[in-house]
Amino acid sequence: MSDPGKVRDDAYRWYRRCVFAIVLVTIVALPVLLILL
Amino acid sequence: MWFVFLVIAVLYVMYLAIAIPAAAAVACAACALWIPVTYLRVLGRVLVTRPAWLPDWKRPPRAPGDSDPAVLHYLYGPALADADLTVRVAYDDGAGFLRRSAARNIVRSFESDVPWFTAPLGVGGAVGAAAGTAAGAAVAAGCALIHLLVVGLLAGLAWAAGTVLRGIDSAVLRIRHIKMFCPVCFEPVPYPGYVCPGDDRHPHHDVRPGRLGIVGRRCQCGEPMKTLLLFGSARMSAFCPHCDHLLEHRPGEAPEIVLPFFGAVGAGKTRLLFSIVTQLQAWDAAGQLTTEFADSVTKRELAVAEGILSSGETTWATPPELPRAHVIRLSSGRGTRILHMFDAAGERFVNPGRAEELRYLGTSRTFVLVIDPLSVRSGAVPPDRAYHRAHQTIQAMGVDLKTARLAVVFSRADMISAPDGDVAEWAVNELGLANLVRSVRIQFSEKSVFMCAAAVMEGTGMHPSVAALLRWMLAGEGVTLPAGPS
Repeated sequence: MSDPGKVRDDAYRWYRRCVFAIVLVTIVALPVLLILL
Repeated sequence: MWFVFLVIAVLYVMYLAIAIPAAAAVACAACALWIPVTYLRVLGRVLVTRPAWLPDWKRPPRAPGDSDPAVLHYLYGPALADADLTVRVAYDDGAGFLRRSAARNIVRSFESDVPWFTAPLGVGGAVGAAAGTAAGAAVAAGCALIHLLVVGLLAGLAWAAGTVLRGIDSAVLRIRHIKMFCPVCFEPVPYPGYVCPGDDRHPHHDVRPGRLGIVGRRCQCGEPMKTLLLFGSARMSAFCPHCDHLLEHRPGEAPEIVLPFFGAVGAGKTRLLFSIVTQLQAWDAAGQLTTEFADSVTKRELAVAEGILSSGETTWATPPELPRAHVIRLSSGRGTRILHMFDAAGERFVNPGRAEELRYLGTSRTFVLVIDPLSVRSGAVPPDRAYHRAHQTIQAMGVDLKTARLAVVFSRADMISAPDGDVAEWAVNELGLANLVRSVRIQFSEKSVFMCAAAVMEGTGMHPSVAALLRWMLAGEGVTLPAGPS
């Protein structure tokens, strides 16, 4: 019997990393864009 | 003396003027920076490192109770739960920081041995910490808002991608003329269900893109699964979503052709089916096309076909139960087709109310009426009844007879003297089937009359009439059958 929590974390690992990367990039880029515009 | 006090007072005021703003500025900067940094640190923990001590989601998202045993797609709920968890943990961490560092230091500044010196720092720190906390909380809230917006945008994109992919998959099936069909319950299969490749106790009734996955999904046992035929879901074990029977013929990979054989009891339907299978196997052996039994039941029932025909044994009477399709995968230079051949007992076309149960008749375009001329001559079983019953059933099932095709096959061509000219004329003149021939001509737009011998000829293989019948049956279905006798 597989551990549902582990299965879930395995399934979400790359989605979470992608969301983290996009959020970080947006947080950095948004002020820069606001300043430039 | 008073001058000394005045100097000290002036110096202290100067100290206050510098220390309070400076303490405020430092506290403000520390809080304003620390709170967003805390939020980002927590975001990294929740989304990347996932330490074991991380608390659970407050409101775990759940798929509806009747959904498949698969993990919910991250963007259909869990991403929001992660955003909520990030805010909760970041709030707790930020509050802890303010309690542990800022508040404690402010209180200490009033309780020190030199309060006249440290209290102004505490006052400045308190004011700065309040302002910095407000600023830091605003920045952290901005970060959380960006997190939510990103999740919302990605969820919208995932939904749109799923809708587009479903549309493309349906369009590809339509372009390739693929309509799936259950050989057991005869129902059209809009999309097959699939059994988890890792654990066959986990059936997935609808794997298509949705809340459980867009390109792929993960079964609750952890096994990854494809969501569309476009991505190769046909390689998994399929089952019929209506009757749950396994569909071993890998539905969705190739167009499916339903070929019903009908006729009176003992007309020779089963022998004709066997001879068709034997002819296909002969072409396969000669390397002219590829024929394979597409499921285990067909393999078990038809593997003996050639042996029975060669030995001259009689075939067993077809049981009166609902038939199951004999499924054959046929591949030629032009592509692959899946043949569902139905051999129903003749009783079903004689006794009232039985033919209506053969719902596969409503999904076919080409029909095969088998008539035994010897039985007609002996007057044992008039073939008209079976024909009319089947015709009424086909019509009642909504088949457009303007596009339907009918092959009328007179069996036992090896046992009677075959007519030199038109077989239909022979049937009218020799067998007295004028009414039947007239009805067929009126009711079906495309029809042809054949004489077939379900017999293996010495040295030449299957009787050539079977190949001719096969070519007519599969004409226009995208299969190139070898020309001439095999």
